[in-house]
Amino acid sequence: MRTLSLEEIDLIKKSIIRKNITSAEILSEVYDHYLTHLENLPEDDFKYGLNELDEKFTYNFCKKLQRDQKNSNRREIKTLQKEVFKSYFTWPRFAFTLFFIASISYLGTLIPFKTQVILFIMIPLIFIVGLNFVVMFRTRIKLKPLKNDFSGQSYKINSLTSEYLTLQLHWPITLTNIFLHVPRILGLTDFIPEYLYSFLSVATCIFLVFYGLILFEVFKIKSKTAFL
Amino acid sequence: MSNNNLIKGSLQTIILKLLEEKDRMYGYEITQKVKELTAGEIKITEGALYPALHKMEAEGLLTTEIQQVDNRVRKYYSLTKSGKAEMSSKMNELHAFIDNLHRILNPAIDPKLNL
Repeated sequence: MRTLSLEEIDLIKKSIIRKNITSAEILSEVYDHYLTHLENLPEDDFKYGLNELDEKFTYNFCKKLQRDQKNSNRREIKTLQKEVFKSYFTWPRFAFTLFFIASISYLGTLIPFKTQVILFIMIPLIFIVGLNFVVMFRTRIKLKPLKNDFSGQSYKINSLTSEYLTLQLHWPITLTNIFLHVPRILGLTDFIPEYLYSFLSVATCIFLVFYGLILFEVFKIKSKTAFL
Repeated sequence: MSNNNLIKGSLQTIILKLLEEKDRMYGYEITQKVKELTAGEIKITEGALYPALHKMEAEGLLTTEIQQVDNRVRKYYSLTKSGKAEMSSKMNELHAFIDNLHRILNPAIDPKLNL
């Protein structure tokens, strides 16, 4: 095994950049494969080895790897979400679920509607927005070395795991915005009967809290192993 | 021996077995290990290896971890709990298949004999 020269590393990077890989997961794997293979070849065989690798990791093959990885990531995160969700209905977590639902339902009968909106909807939403920032920050830090290595690439390098998790975190924020603003735009200010106010705020709170907690746990699990 | 179809059919088992013996491995290491163990008779192509690794990861058989190694990021694969279980069942299946293949290729062997 030998240390590659800066010129050789530059040739490898240029060769990989031509494949337009945007997924950090695939890019790092392909780059490591190139480097490890070429480090094991004598200096004279470098160009031959590089061409050989380029023939294996063609543009289309890399795009396919990226597409498959995207689907795999989605499937994996969805499975994790389901597993975490199920865990809230098995002991000992079920005790928390029961206690939480009972407390929120009881508080819903005591607190006036405006306070309920602040407490039951805004606090979980702030948690979700905060988690979103943490995900973005962590991804930025983890991607920094790779982005520096491939600074000449015109396509933005992104973590597929982070991208999907961020998308999941945006859903409740978008839905809340739609729920708050669309009725106003349409002039439907009193379209929800008053007796449903409490029920709706309690139900929304339960949904948001569990949704946020599930995503937080998925983030905790995936952040140990992925670009997150 | 280097029949692509035979290798394709056993690629998952090969990966599972290698990862059982060594806690974690990266893609290139797997290709080299197979080459080394078979004295170059079996070569796993990158075109088959990476899709297989990603598929197994999505199925929950493998887990990955990234680590900074020599100025680059390296992705290591290791077996999950269900990956270990799958490995045992795949190995049993493969042993049974090899036994049966022996019997077919050597009809003189008594079918009741435990190979």
